[in-house]
Amino acid sequence: MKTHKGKSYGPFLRDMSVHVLVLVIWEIACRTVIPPIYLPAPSSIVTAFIATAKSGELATQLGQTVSVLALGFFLALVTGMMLGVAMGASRVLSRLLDPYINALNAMPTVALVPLVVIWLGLGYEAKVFLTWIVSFFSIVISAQTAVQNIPHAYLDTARAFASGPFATLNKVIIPASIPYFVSGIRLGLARGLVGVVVAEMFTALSGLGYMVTTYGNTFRINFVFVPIITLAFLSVFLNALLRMAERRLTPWNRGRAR
Amino acid sequence: MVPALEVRSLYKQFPTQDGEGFHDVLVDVNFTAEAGEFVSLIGPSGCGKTTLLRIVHGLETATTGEIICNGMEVKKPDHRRGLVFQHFNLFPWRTVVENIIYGLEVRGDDRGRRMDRARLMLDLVGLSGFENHYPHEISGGMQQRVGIARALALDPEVLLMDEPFGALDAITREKLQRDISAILERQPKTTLFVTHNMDEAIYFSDRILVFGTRPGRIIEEVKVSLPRPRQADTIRASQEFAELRTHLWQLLSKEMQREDA
Repeated sequence: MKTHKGKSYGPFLRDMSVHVLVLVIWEIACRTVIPPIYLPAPSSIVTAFIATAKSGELATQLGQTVSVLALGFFLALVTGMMLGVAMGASRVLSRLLDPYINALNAMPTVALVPLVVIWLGLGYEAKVFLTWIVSFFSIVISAQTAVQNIPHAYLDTARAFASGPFATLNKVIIPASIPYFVSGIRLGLARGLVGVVVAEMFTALSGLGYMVTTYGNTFRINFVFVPIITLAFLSVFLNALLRMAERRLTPWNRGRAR
Repeated sequence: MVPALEVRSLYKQFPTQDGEGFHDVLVDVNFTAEAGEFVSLIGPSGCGKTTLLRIVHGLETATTGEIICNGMEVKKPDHRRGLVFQHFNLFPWRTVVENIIYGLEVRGDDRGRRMDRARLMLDLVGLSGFENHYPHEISGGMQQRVGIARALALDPEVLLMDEPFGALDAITREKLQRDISAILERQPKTTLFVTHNMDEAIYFSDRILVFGTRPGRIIEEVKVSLPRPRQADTIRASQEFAELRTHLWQLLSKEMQREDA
């Protein structure tokens, strides 16, 4: 059997049958030996999904999580890039700030939750702030590293064509760094998602974090899996989006050795 | 007539490795290039010819001495001199045409003029149809033609080329030499050309400055009066070519023996 691209269906069918087999074994195990309080059966998770989708709860909570993540991550992206590029371009600035940035990056920033609550309370601002701070440092560091490692030949060429500082930044340093920014952005996004969920669980309950906590506390384990699986899909989806943006932004990098 | 380019008692010193003192890289270099003249700088590696070219462009500064380009002193790079690099140095994130107009963008030429120049240059270097390719999608020889178009797009008063064929294989090199010769027939430029290839120097030049090493200095000026336009094959078969080549080799080999001793 062949698809229009000439690929065989064989491997696909084989992989799918393995996945289905795992689900079937899981289902049987839950119905026989595993008590549902430890692990819900796939069928009961599906039921929970349908229930939360029908009531509109899933969409509402997902919307809240995404709105916090979007704003927090966007702010981290803008501020992180600005500080990272500045630190990459200025030796003085990077020497001055490196110890702080590295220390804060190495520290699990979710430990800041109590402080953030004191500063900003329990609301939307606190959640956005936590998302921002959790993803900020990895973006700073990747932008800084990218700028610091620009091949000398590019800067030499910029100078040879009498580029001023603004043209050099705009036309050479930033485009040369984009492929290297992306790794930091990906890491920042993954961390940002952790930040949102932690914030939603430890400040005023909301979003998918709220669903995890509330259903966990009431032992409705099959419902706990709804936000967990949604978060996994959200993460995969955002990464795919990022990869698409990367390809759009760096058409010249396609098919080159990285 | 004012020469297009004049280098006056130029000295360049680099700090020594231990940082204690200085050693001479270039000593008392003097020469001029008339408008439209093609001048080659040839010499063994390490004779400072690339450094000299970079000083002439303004990318590096001389320790003492002056560079005068059409009556104006060169202090730093500007758009009156166009530089072609040995390793092309194209920007991989820019297409062929975007690379060609880079200098024009920096200079602030408006879009209409940029596009006019780009079209002219693409035609000149024979890359029409490749304008939207990225550098990694075209061959090394084509990449260097983009490098030349990028320098010529500015319509510079002086063209500076730093071993422009140095990173190419022998066949591509041969082809590009002929192409560049044809380009310069169509658009004559005062050119300063760094090479360590004797055939190349004779084929292109009106005058060859032979450099000695340690310290770098001009040891002889060789005039090439072969008639133009030059055909690569007939030139190389000529008596005069052979004599020039022998003469250059004697100068350079003596210089290398001196260094070995």
